[in-house]
Amino acid sequence: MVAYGLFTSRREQNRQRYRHDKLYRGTFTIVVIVFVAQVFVVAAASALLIAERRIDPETRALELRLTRLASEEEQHTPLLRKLGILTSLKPLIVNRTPAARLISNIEEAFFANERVGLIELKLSNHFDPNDPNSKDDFTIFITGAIKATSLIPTVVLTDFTKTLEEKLPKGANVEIARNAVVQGAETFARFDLKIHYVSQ
Amino acid sequence: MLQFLSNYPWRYYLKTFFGRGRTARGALLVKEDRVSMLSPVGGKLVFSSGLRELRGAPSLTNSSRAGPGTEFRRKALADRYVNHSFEWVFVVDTPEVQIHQIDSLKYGGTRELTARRVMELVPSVLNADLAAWELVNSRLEQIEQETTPVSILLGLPKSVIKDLEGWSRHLRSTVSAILPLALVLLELSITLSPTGFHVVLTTNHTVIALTQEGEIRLITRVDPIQRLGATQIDAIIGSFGDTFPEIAQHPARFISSDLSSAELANEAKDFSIPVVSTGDSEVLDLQEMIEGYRVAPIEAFALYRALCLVPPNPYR
Repeated sequence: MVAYGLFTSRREQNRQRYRHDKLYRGTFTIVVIVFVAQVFVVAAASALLIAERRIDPETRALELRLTRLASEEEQHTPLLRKLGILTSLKPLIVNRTPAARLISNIEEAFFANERVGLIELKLSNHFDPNDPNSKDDFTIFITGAIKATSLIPTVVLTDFTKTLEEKLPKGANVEIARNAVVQGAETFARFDLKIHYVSQ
Repeated sequence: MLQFLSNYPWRYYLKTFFGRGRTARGALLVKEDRVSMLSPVGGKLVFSSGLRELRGAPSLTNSSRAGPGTEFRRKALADRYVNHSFEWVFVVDTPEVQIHQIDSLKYGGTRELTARRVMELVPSVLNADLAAWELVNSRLEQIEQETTPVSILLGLPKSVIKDLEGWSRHLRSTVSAILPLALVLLELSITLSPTGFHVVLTTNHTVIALTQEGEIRLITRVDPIQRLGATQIDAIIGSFGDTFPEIAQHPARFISSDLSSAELANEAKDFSIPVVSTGDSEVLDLQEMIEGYRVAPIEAFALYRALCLVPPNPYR
């Protein structure tokens, strides 16, 4: 056999050798990897830049809007505070049991018990208008009289108290301050009741 | 650094990044009057001749190129898969081919064959600067492998090499070797008759060699037989026979890529020693291997021998 590359030029022999040279091939692989990596980096950077450019006006508009809203909020702070108070009071107002209803309930109890008569009714409310968390806190003092007949007045008072508890809203506390006891030859036995009711 | 960059085969690396594929090899006979090819097509060697007329065919006289739309590419290279993994072995016959016998003692080692060195070895050499030079030993092997007493100095014009390499480069293929036709025919002749005279007749040269057990003892190149005449060739054979009388008893084997067996016999009828004309019947095994050889059997077999003469790519 003759020599491989017989009568071929140095250039052709180099061409043959370089095609299969491990170092050359290695450098090419590295160049390709670097190139591909750069392509990826450039593509990623371009995508980010495009996204940023697209988002930038929106961001600026939102920032501007935010500043404007902050200044508006500052402007309307007293109103907002009032609204806050009102908002917190709303359930109280909605669920409030008016004093008139309590009195009406007491009247109903008196109507149901004919032997019991009303002499005086005092109603006071400890509601604090400056406290947003304040609730209706009613205290009602009733002074009445029971005609002394065959039934013992204390029993009649006990029945009346029960009727009151039924008629008044749930949570109302009825307490006998002075029992209906007949004093001497009096026809009517006087009594005092204390009702306490805090709105739920 | 510049050399590194200029030779950087980045296109080849890109194409072979995920696998180099299988290397194919083909042989092309390039003569002034014809071009033939032998290369694998679908796993079989196919010989094609009469390709010189196709536009884009390789040429020894001008730097032709087998561009994508050329006839050569469309007709001759169809189904031959000539790409970056393809290697060419060119077999050329040009009048400028030079063949000289060198005494190995005179050559003295494996020094680089510069034009000056060639002039020292063969003072009568022509255009030493314009030719590329190669040295083979008496078994037509590379001289570095084994130095034999007789060496053969071969010369080929640099312009031919440049043109053929340029043609191959245009197809992204490479060149394994460029062989003179006379050398290939001589190798084929020696394969058939290891001992005896060999007369190789090409269009431009007559090479006369005397071999003993496959090894060349004497070799000379003279003008083609049409120009020189059979008598002169007979005289040279006679002088060779005087040097090696024991070998001269063997018949002289004639081989030609241009002449048929009958024409060869006619040319050699007046020779003083018995003559054997090389015909296609002598290489029956090759007939089974090469498709289309009948058009020009000796040419087809010579191209096959050329493929066998060049070793596989050592860089793979």
